[in-house]
Amino acid sequence: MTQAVDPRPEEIQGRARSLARLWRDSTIWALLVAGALALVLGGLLVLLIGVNPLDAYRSLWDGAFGSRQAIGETMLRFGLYSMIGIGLIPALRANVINVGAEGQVAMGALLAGVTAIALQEAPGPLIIASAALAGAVGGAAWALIPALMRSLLGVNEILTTLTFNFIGTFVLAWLLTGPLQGSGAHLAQSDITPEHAWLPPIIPGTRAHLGLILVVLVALAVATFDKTAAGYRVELYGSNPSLAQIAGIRPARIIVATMLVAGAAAGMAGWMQVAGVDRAVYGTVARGTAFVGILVVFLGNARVAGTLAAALFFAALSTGGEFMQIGAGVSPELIGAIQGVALLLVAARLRRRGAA
Amino acid sequence: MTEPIAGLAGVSKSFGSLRAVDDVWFDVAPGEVHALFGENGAGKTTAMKILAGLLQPDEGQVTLRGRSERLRSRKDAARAGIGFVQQHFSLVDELTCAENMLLGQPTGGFLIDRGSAASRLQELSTRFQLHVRPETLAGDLSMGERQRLEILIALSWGTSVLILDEPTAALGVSEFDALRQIVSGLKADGVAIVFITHKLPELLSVADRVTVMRRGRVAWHGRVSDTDPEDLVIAMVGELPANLQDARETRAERGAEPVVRLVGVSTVPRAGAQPLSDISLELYPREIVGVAGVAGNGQRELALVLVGVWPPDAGRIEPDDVEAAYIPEDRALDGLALDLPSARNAIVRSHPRLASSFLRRLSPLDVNRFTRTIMSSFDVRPADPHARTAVLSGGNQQKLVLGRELAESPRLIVAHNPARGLDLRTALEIRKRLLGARDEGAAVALITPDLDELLTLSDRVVVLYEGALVGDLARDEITATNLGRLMSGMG
Amino acid sequence: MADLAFWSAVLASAVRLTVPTLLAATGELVAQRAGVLNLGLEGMMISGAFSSFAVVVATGNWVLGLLAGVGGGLLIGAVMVVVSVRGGGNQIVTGLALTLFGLGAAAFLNDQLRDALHTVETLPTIGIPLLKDIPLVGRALFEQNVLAYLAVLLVLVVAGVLRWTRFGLEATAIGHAPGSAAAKGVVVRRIRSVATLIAAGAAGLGGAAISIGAVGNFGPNMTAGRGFVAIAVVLLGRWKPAWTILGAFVFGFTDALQLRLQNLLDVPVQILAALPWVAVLLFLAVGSRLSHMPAALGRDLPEIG
Repeated sequence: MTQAVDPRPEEIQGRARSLARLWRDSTIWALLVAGALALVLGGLLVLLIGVNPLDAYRSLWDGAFGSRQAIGETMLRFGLYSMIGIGLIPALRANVINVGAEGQVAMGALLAGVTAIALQEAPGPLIIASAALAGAVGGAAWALIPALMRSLLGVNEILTTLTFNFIGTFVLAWLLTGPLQGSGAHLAQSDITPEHAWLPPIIPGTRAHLGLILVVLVALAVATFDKTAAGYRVELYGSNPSLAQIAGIRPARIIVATMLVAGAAAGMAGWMQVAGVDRAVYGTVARGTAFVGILVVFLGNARVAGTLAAALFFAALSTGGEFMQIGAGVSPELIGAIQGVALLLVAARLRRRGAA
Repeated sequence: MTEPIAGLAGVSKSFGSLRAVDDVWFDVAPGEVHALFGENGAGKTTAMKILAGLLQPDEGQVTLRGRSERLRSRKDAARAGIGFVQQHFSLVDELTCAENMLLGQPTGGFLIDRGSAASRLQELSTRFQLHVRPETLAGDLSMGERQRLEILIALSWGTSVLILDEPTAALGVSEFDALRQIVSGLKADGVAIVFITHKLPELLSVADRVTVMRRGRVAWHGRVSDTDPEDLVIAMVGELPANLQDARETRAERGAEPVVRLVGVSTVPRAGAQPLSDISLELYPREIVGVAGVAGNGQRELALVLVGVWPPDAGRIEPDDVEAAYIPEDRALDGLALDLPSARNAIVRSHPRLASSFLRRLSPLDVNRFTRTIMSSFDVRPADPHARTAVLSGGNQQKLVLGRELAESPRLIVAHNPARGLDLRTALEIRKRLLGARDEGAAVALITPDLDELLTLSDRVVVLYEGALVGDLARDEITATNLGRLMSGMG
Repeated sequence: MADLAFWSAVLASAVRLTVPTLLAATGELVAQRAGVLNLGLEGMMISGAFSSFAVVVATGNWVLGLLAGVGGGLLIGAVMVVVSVRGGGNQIVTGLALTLFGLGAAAFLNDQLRDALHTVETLPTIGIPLLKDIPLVGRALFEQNVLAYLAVLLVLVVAGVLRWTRFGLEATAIGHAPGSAAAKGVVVRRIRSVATLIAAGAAGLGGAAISIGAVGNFGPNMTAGRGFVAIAVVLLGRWKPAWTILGAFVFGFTDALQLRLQNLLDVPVQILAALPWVAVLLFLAVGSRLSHMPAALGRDLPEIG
């Protein structure tokens, strides 16, 4: 019986104890506190530049929810963030930290776009389904090698997934300015995908598209998974890998499975961008997705409800932020700073007991 | 004998409710080897840490050259000339010997001079006949050489007193001879040596005086040349409890198929672990086999092999898929996921059975009901499936482990030090459970350094010494002498 | 096939592009040797880029600008020390948070102060007479701004510190075997704090190299992932200072190529740019068992020292 015993057990154990401490604390409180504090600190920054924070935040709200258009945009981003974030939940429960969303989104988008274009003659629903599947496969494939490197060689998956982000960006750029470049295009982009395969809007008059239904489905799937025996094994491994191995759980299975799920979800997020928004594969498809998934899932305590709430929070901040410039003269870049503060607060909570 | 150079005068120390060292008097003189003999948990290491200034006594004093001193730090110890070589080496493999010596030196400025460190190492090396090359990486050294380096590092701190804690724990036979030579050399040079050990043969060949400790107190003291080794053994082990005399027929079904059989099992040395050496053992239904032995002789390795987590590197285990329950020595490490709710720990073994057939869903209702059953049956408090496991006391945690491990009626139970650190009442409850499991047909391997526990529960006893099984005593063959001799290597 | 002048220009550009990464990587080297996987490097770089730029706009003095660059990095580094190294907060998440924060805050301030900021002159180029006329490599090696020479100096200083100071020895020990080091009396937390601050200051200087060294202005994403490149460079350089120069140069070289070419020898330039990353992967696959990787890299150690 030769199992792939998790190498460098001390590192994994140490990380396990640190992250497990987070998950057991109450979700809603954590989210509310972190969110509120982040807003307050952001408000301080605003004050620093001589603007009334209340004005700024009022514009923020308007920009996020003030009109049907705004709500649509917010929901659009919510869909993106939650798809990536929810996919990360099983991995994080298992202590597998996948920061490769950027590359996985790019590869998923690529494969989805190529599939859609290749199947132009087929009926719409078929293209949509195939492209979605292709997106999942693309993203999962991009997560496979880091998963194997960790389970077989003990290589830190943070480093490998970061590396794959860069490689993915380059591969995408090459393909989109080379073999896959759209006819008549000057930028890095592919051909336009077939029109009958575009995702129709779900909120009429906005860009929020049918893909949101998939988000709901994925959320339900992960929430259900949590309650199964497999979900239990993932959680046990994440909390105490040594005990899990004694109980007969194989680390390799957990690591690879959770990484593939995270990759697949990110890949589908890429598909959503292509099919619902861009209508083609752009070189910039993965821009801004690098750490938003991590941000959202950590704030949400690796629980489905929390992650969805955090995704909504940051989606609103994102769309609202753009409005702050017009409404109150505050740069939307503030949102990035607020994101950082919120995640920092979460990191500060991820402490082992006994720290000074 | 010359005047003692260092000693303990009426020293006591407690950790919480555990009195680790109790009114201990001890001294050592230049040029002599004074052995400190006893099992693990007897208080030897704690007492010597106090002598070396690494711990502060609650009562009593450390004496240096007749004067009582307070040694507050490693720097004080260095000034007093006391060096301590710990049982587990703390070398950094990727640094050279000279660099390891430089680490944490009490003196030394901002810049380091590898050259002068190397010369100092060379100088000590020659003076004490402990040969290591300053430029070699610590990771390339053999175990014996690593020990030499640790000794040199301790000597670089001070050359009046050298305390060696279980120095032969990681050495092979030939390396022990080298150690013996080293010790003679140090003696000749006037170093006062304290030699902590539980191995009698080695003690007899190096020590001038011996002090035996048991449960924190001094149980014997005298010159080795005037002492009968049997007395030392009895002092280490103490009186055997009376219920040994109970006439209990062994109910082992010797005729039946063994639950598990190890044939010629050996394991390769892994970092920090004692490799097993050609172990053959059969465990039958309805028996408790006590595995005696001082900690560090391969207990955890044997447990993990029996449970099936570590496949043997040589030999075989038959059958290789026994349903085995494991009650580990360190429940924080591999017994419980402390950050999860108790229920999640309760279902470790049983979750496949509890999951529904469709979707393999674990209904919270079922899980909680199951957990509550275990909790009430094993008297775990608080009996709350949702409580985070870490808030339970040690005793309740252990009962939870026991409950969940026994839940699926395993055929083999491996219990490693199951009552460690627990109060008497809980310990008794746990022992009762093991007896109960035995009566229902299981084979129990009880690995424990606690002789009372061993003798109360075991139907027969085997002894683990340096990774091998020495001796297989039936219940009526167990005497303090037999057991003590086997445990201290006197065969 | 391009000619000597072309390649000379490419090399000069490559060196210029290497400098920021090299500065950040050299500092990160110290941190990683002590076992700190600092993912906040990008945030520290952009912070230094903005602060140096702002100070030069305000004072016109590039020396003050450089100091401000270091200060900007140290500011972010101080948060990392308080929250993670001393506070026990998860290293990885803290680092990512600081990167997000740094990028956001720097861009925010840049936007808000837009009216007060303007392009400035970049750092003066210092050419070494005679040497700079060596064909092909002369301009690249001997006609650069002061930060290029400072970067090399920093590498030498770090190499010296790691090799000849107590701090360097203890940092190395902590990175490989924190338990043993602590048992021998090393104050783990203190060493890691200092190492993190070194990385932060160097990264800040690296950011300054981009803003006031190369561009003369500030843009919200001007570090373009170089913080992460610097981390990869430390890996590729196997945690040794001299090799870090080579690693940083490889990335700088592919950057320079990307600006000028579509293809080189029929290989698309993006594939060339991906190659150093593939090398990182290969090294990770093979090298984690080799002795040089600090075994405790990325481990939070709040219970020790």
